Amino acid sequence: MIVTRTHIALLAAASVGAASAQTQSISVSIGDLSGPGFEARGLRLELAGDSLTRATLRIGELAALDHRWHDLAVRCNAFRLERSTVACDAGRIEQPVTLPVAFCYDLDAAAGSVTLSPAPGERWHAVLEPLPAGGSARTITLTLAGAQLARVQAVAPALPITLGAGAVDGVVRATRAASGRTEMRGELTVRNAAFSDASGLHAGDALAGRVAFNGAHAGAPGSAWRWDIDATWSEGEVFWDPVYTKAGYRLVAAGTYGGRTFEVGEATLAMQDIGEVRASASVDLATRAIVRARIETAELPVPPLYARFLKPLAANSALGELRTDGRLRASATVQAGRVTEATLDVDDLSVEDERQRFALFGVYAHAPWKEGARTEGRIGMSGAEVQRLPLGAVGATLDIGSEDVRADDFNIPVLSGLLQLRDLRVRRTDEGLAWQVSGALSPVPLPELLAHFGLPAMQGTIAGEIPRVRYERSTLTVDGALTIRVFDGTVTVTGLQLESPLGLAPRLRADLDARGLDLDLVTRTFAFGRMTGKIDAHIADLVLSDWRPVRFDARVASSPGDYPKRISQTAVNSITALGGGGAAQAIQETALRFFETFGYSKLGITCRLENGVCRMGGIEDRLGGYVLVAGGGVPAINVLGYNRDVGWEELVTRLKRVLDANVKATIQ
Amino acid sequence: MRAKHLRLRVVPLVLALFALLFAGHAAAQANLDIDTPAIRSLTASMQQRHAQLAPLYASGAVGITRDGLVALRDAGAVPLAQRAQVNALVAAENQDRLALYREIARANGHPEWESDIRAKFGERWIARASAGWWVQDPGGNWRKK
Repeated sequence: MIVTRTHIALLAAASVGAASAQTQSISVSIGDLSGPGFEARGLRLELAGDSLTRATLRIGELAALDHRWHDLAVRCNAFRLERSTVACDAGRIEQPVTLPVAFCYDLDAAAGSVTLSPAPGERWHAVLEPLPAGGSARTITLTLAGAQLARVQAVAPALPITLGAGAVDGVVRATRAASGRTEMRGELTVRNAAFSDASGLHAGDALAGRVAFNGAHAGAPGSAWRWDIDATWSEGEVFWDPVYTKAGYRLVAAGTYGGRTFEVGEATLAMQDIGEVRASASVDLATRAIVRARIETAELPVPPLYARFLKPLAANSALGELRTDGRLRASATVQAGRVTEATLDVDDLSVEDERQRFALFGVYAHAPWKEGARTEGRIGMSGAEVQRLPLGAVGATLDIGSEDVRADDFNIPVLSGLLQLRDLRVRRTDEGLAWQVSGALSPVPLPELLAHFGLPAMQGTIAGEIPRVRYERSTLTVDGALTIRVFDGTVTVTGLQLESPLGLAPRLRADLDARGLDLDLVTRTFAFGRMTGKIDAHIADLVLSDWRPVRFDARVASSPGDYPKRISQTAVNSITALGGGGAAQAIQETALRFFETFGYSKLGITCRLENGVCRMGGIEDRLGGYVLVAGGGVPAINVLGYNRDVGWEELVTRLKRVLDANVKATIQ
Repeated sequence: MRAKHLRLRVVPLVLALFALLFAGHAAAQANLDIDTPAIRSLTASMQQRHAQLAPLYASGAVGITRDGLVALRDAGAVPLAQRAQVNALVAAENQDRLALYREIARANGHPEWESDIRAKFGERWIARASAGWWVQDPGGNWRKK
């Protein structure tokens, strides 16, 4: 705001009106005043009163701070015109706002000052300093004391946020030499400031900080401003959806500004208790596009970084509730508005899901990414847990492409077995990350595996060739068959699909086919009562919701073939208790009670579960019921069921009761 | 005689209730209170969250939308430090609600009823909202119940 061109046509167009001898009035057209940053047109001074002490300064148009005001009026009842000085110690701006104002201007020295005092304790004081002796540089100094931040809103109503409370103290000084060279420096402190947008999703409160800045412009056409800034945010809190943070940041930056380019040569953002981020950038002001940028973090501790920035971004996802430890370093390059290169380095990172669904320990990674090229990275960890199942150390070489990541071969130790994975491909889709992998599971002992899930030990192993596992749109699909060797037989799982595996209600679909399970081993594992023989089981269309069955069509029956078939009295009791029948009573009332075991020719049960009800059947229908055990040998026994529809919950309760009773009986 | 007398009284009442419940809606035949393990976990999760949401409904920070969801209505009513948490709470509630509508449609054997079930629930949540809570009218405007 330096007056470069002062056209004061004092009295040039003066009209003196003398209405009477007592009252005088003078109207003076001053013309225009202009300087960089402001321009006042149509200035007119009207003087009236006995000694011409009542003055009104009218400004047709004032342009400053990218804003225009029309028809401003400043009224002064104690106007002084002394030699070359015009002064008003207690005036009022009356239009467009009412504000107390004092001003003083020396026409000879072309120097003066303006003081606005909009509120008690608030002062905006601008001084245009006289020309230094022998010099030609003009200096204007703006001193603020308790300046209300909210007034900025009046001159910049287009701001997307509303400035609430807040006061500014400090000095801004600008000097312009005759050569055109301009220098600006300022130091401002802000206290108790607040802002918010209409939605309240971007807001700050009780903010305090300090900013010091310098700017210089050579004055030559086409040359740019050189600037630097040192800003400290020391108090208050900000919520910038979805991130909430307290104060404790310092930004030191320098660059240029000119023509259509805003350039940040070097900027360092220091975040208290996290670390530093350095950046440089070039922005095209006309298109608002980032022409190029480079951002690089120091080695940052993951826990505060996760808590402040990543956790809110990952809210309600599988990564939303983690305990973290470790360090990371990241960098990115932007060219023509697009990220063209990025690198992530992770060292000794641990993440543990607070809901204990998964955990990764000792993760290290080097992942360079480059647009339009394939790069090599590596990733590994010392161990992991999935649903509390411990997994061993893993290491893999990554083939990183623009849109996907691949890993050829890597092994994950699972208990004493090994999950060998091949051809892992992870890619980004519109619905999130999608991946696929194939592999094989070398035998894992079942008792070891089941013990981890708190299930009764079953003899056998789990192994299988996995042609392909796919995960996309929150659904995990296994193409091909998983084979479980258990109870001397095999269980083949096909059509396995798991929707929302980490969601609230995971939904599993599968078909199970079991062949030749040794009933003796099965009944030893579960306290159901001893049986010998072999069974086949087919469970089609199995649907588990939240790991509980909601639908299936199950058939369990004796395997074909010739082998010993015996059933104990306890087992007969168990079967009949499940059906809610009274066969046990029947045995007790006959000579059969003297036998421990019975022969049978075939046994079987079917259950079609739908809407919480199990529609039951046996190997065949007979006498209005269905045959569960068909007798054979000596002594033979037939067990029939009569209840066709049993509530699933009821059936589970009965089974539990039977098993508990048998366990108790064994202990006795 | 006594039992017969009672039944006669009860029948019209039951019929009236049925008529009220199933009044000419596409998903009218859907059993909205059907029970499956997934529905049980979803409703348990929502019930647990309700303790945190109730004061937000009361303060007007969160309102009940016409389409069976909840929304952050007035973030200004929540201290800055808790806004992210409230936002996440609203997102989690909506995630559960959408999953609930899907599960109910599925449990009814008609996945295609999902949007009708959601609309029906939209009316139900608003009808059951306590006085003083903010709900959306059919035009999408907020009003205090």
